[in-house]
Formats: sequence, C-alpha cells, structure tokens
Amino acid sequence: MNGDNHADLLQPPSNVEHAVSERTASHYTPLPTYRLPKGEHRHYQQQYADMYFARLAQLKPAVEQIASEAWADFEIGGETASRKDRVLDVREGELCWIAGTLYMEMPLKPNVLEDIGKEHWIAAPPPRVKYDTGGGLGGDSERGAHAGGGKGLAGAQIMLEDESGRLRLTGGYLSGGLLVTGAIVAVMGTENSDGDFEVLDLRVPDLPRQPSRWETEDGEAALQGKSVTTKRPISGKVAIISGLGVSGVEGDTLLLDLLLEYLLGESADPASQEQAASISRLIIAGNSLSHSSPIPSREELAAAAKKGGRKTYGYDSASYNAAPTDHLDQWLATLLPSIPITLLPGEQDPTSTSLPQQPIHAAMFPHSRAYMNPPTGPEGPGWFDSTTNPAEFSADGWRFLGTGGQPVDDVYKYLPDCEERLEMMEAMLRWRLTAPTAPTAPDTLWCYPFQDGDQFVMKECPHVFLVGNQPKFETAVVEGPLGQQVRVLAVPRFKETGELVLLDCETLVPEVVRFEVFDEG
Amino acid sequence: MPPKRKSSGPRAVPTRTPSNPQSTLSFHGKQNKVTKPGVAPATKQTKKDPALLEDIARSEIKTEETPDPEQPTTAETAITQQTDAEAKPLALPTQHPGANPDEILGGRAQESDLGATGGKAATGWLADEEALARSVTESQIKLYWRQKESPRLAPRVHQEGMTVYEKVLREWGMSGQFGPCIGIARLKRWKRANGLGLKPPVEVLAVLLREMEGGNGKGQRAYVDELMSSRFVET
Repeated sequence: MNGDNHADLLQPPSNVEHAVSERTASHYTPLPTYRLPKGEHRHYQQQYADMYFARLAQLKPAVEQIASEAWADFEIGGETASRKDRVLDVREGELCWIAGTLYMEMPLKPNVLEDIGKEHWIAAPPPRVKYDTGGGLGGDSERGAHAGGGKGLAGAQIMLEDESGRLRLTGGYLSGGLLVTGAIVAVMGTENSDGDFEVLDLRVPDLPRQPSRWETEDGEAALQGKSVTTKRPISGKVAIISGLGVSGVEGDTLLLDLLLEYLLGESADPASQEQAASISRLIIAGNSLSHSSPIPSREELAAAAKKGGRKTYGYDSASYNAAPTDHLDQWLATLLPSIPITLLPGEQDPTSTSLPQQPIHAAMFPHSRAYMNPPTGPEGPGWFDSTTNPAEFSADGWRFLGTGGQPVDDVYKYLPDCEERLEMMEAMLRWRLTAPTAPTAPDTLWCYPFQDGDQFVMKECPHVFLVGNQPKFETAVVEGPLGQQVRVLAVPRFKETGELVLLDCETLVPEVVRFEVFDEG
Repeated sequence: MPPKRKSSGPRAVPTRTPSNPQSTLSFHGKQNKVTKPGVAPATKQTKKDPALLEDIARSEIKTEETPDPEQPTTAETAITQQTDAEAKPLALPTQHPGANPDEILGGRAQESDLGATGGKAATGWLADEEALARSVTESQIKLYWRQKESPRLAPRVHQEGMTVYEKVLREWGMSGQFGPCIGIARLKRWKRANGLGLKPPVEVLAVLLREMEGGNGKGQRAYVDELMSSRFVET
C-alpha cells in the first residue's frame, strides 16, 4: 500500500483516477428442497401420523446400523444385547436394544387436548421459557431453569414409541443427554419390574454423508452434458445477518444505514472498502420486519378488544401500516444493484406461519422486484432470491443450510438445564433433523403435514449450518464419524447487537463486524 | 347517497305510478352491508383481564350452515386429486365423466416436480415395479391371498360377499407397517412404502392397477378412511 491509509482521505482534490474495486462474484445455486406446491396442490387433510411414520422409516436403518456396530460385543454378566424388532417385544430382565421415536411428556408443554378443555374456562397461561417444572414462567429470566437444578426433568416422562406402541424409559443415563420429542434414537437396556425400560446406553443416527465442495454445481453440469470445470475462482466472503427488525419507526434507521454504507463500500478507509469488496453475497436469515406476521398475537387481540368498538378478527385493513415493508424494500433496493441478496423469512415476517415458511412474495417488494426473476421467466437463481425458511442452497460450492431460528428456539424450550444453543444445534445435526421438522415439529412447532417423507430428514450433511435470530454470536465445528465437518453458526439479532457475520468461503472461518451507535443522551 | 328521484313532476313517465317507482340503487341499508357485523362493545367497563372476557371467545364461534351432503368433503377431493395425479403417468383412461377443466381452460402450467412434495422422480417409481405388477397373474394373486389366509384358524367373518381384490385391498390398509392408511390414496401409499424401502407386496400393486384399469376410480380410498370420516346426516 502506498503510505498511510488515513492520509489518502485527507487530501485536496486531485486528478488522480482512483481504481474502483470490484465485488467478488458469487456462485449460487438454490435448491428447491423446501418449496411447497402452490394453491390447490397443497393439501392439509392428511394427518401428522404420516410424518412420524415416514421419519421413523427413514432414520431407523441408519440408527440401527450405528447401534449394532456399537453394541455388537457389549456384555454385562455374560449376556449380550439382542435386537428387538418392535418396542413392545422387550421382556423383563432381558438385555436388548430397540430403536424408535422419543416422546417427552412434560406437564407444561402445550397440549392441544387440554387447550380445548380449558379454552372456555380460564385464561391461557403466559408463554413459558422452558417446558418443565423447574423452568419458571416467561417473566423470569433464564436463571429460572437453573433454579430447578438437576430436578429439571421432574414431572416429565420420556417414552420411546414406534408403530407397535410406547415404552416408558427410566434410568440415570437420561438426565445427561439432550432429549426432545421426535428424535429417533436406539436405546439399550432392560425392562424392570415396573414395566419401564432402564436405559444403559443411547445412540443417535449421527451425521449423514457430506458432499464435497462444488459437488452440486458439478453434478448439474454433468447432467446437462457440459464439461466440468476444474478451475474455480477464489471465493470471497458471505455476509450473514439476521433480525433486522424493521418497524417503520425512525429510530432504527441509523444502524441500517451504517450497514448499508459498509456493504456498499461507501464508508471507512480503502482497506475496509477492500474487505467489503470481497463480500460476494448477503444472506438475511429471518425477521427482517419486526411485527408483520399475519396472525395477531394474544396481546394484540387483547389490546384491540380493550379499545372497544369493533373487534376485527385477523386482518384489519384500517390499521395496516405500509411503512416497515416500504422501508425494507427501499433498503434492499439500494443494496441490490451492488450485491446479490438471499432473503429467508422468519417468525415475524409476512409469510406462512408453519414451517417450511414459503418465500416472501414479490408483491411486498415493489422496488426490489426488479431484481427477482419474473414468475413466467426461466427458473433459476435471481439476483435477489426470496427463499423459504429453512433454505438449502449452494453458495461458492459449499452447501449451506439456513433457518430463521424457530427450530432451535423450540428445542431450547424442551431442555431444562441446557443453555448452550450450540449444543442444541449440534444435537439437531446428529439427529439428522435440522429443518423443517426439527424434531419437535409437529408436536410443538407448527409444520406442514408432509405425507411423502421426502424432506424431513437431512439426507446430505451441509458444510455450513446457520441459524438466525439467536441471542448472541456463537460458532463451532461439528465433526462426524465419516470425517464430515460442519461449521455451525448462531447469528445474533442485528437490531439488538448490531453484529454482522462475515464467513470466509475459502476457509469457512467466520468473523464479526459490529456496528454501534453512541447515544449522546 | 344516490340523488333523490322525484316520481312526480313534469318529466315523470306516465306509465310509472307513484306506488311503483323506478327501481333505485342503494348503497346503504341492511341488505347491502359489505363489512362484517361488529361486536357490540361491553356496556359495563369491567376491570377484568381482557383475555377472560367471554366476548372474545364467543364472538369467534359462528354457526356454520349445514354442509351439503351431496358435495364431496375436502378429504375426498384430496384423495381424488391424488388418484388423478397417480393415474396420469400410468396412461389410463380418466375415470371422471364430464368436462375436463384442463381442456376448457386451455391447459395448465407445468407442475414442478421439484420441491418439498415433488420428491424424487416425477412418477414415484423406483424401478420397473409397474411392469412387474402388470405381469402378475390372477392365480398369483389368489395364491398370495391363500398364503395370507392359511395361518388363520378361522375364516374372516363379515367378508363372505367380497371379491378377492377387495379383501386384498382391505388387508393392505390394515397392515400398519406401511404407515397410516387414512388420508392417502392406496396407490400413493404403495409408492411411498416402496420408496421408503419397506418392500410392499407386488401383488397388492397388481390388484390396484387392475382396479384402476377396470374403471373403479373410487377404490383408491381405504375403507377404514371412509368409515372414520363418514358424515352424520340428520334425518
């Protein structure tokens, strides 16, 4: 570099032509894994039993293979563990192992039958932070879970079920592991005199096969008959952000403007601008709008009723405020000419409330729409990709799996003593149930009733698993039994923390850029 | 408000009598109400928790008009749609009499096979199951059924008047290892079980294909599905 960077800024105007840095190109292939059919082809008359059946049928072979390898030569008191086909085939005193779906019955978990019974009599309880007796109410801080201590699972019953029936599990082993409803596990132990199964060991399906880098692109090129390029340009970085929380109020524009200037390379010194030029894509992982879910929450309904007058059920056109979407659209439209954007919807965004959330419709973005592919045009990634939540895509050769945070938040509610979100994400990867049925769907997480079983389980291990709307930034690398390596990223909410995550696509190492506004008041 | 008309006056048409004035347009009034009727506000201002107010709960309960028993339910239409979707790759004659809406509307856009419910190949077959199933003979089907019946000590009751095909299909629905049979067409269930590697018997597929060829499109819904979702018609 020639001279001090700051000296470059403080200069009288000159005729020197400054080189304009170019942004690194982004190679992007979205996978339509979570798109649901539109209109009348989407059916809701099927039951959720299909989902549980298909999940068990898909994961049972994998978990049984792992279990048989682990317990093939296991002996206690001269007895080896035998495999039982059905959960109800266990006999008292016999050491055996079985595989099935976990079901946790927790007293504070929302139960639809109780809701129907109670709905006309008492008010619903406030939302809980955790679903166990030690967890405390939503008003308490997260310390409430720790206040319960080791008795967090008191009152909860853990059962293993498959097509034949259910079996209750007991044993000290269970309090150590992460257990949520819907995970497929294999347990080894014996039945005691109460009829409960005492667990000695537990196995999960673990990570599936991981594709190599550029495999998606090479595979597609091979299918289309094109030659497979072996030389790929050096990839840049991917910027990941989540929880923009645009609410139309003037107060939140300053942070967004700072972010905008940084990404466009308009701010700071040339070194930072070079860094910004290496950012090839922006991924917005959920909750871009702060309040736009179509279903009003209980508090909103109560406020509307309190104001008296007409109670409008659902959508009230008189109270629609276009400012947040307009603001977000303008912000995106300013950014789009320079950088491609992938937008995932979140819990508070105006799209479907059950997973998999479908892409935010182009009608919400009158200005940014110009950068999307027209609906009658060719299928393919547009410059601006409004995609599903969860989303699977291949950026710069790496397979990304992104969610807006709802699966992890739901798993969080099940685990009484665990505050480590990274552990939960790792567990979700090892259960092979990351999204959309992040094991707790459809039990406590709203989900589309899949019938075919295609998209429940993770068939191929991603390289990057990013989860948005988390309280703070965390990252780790999860390793699998066949040498898979997954970079797990918990992306914090931008509105609260002002942090932007930059993921280097050559090394998959993340770094954080923080934007702060100093309040003089 | 529309302008007031004078039925009497110099320009009044003599054939119209004052008692039978010209028909007017009206944008107000009870018949033309466009918005939903609102809930009357509570006359007493109570300090109760709004969530406890029964108004909220009660106003949402509307009596629905009694459904027309002649029209198919959503479950039935869904199964019919599934049957049609499965029938298309089989190149069978369509079983629906009457107009085909596709032809009237000039075709429809290509359904994408990709995505969350499109799954693997568009047709759902893994290999040549269809050809295998068509090559299964009647005697093979009867042999299969005899093998199913032989372990039983007593014959099945209440199944005397049923054909072998119907018995095979009912047994197919009752086999729990292939998944729930409610809410899914029989052929789709077979394909799903095949796709998950559960090895459903090919004789069942043969029976299903013969049933569809025979023009019995209604046979795709499991019998227990019809029982569970039967509507109670008040007499």
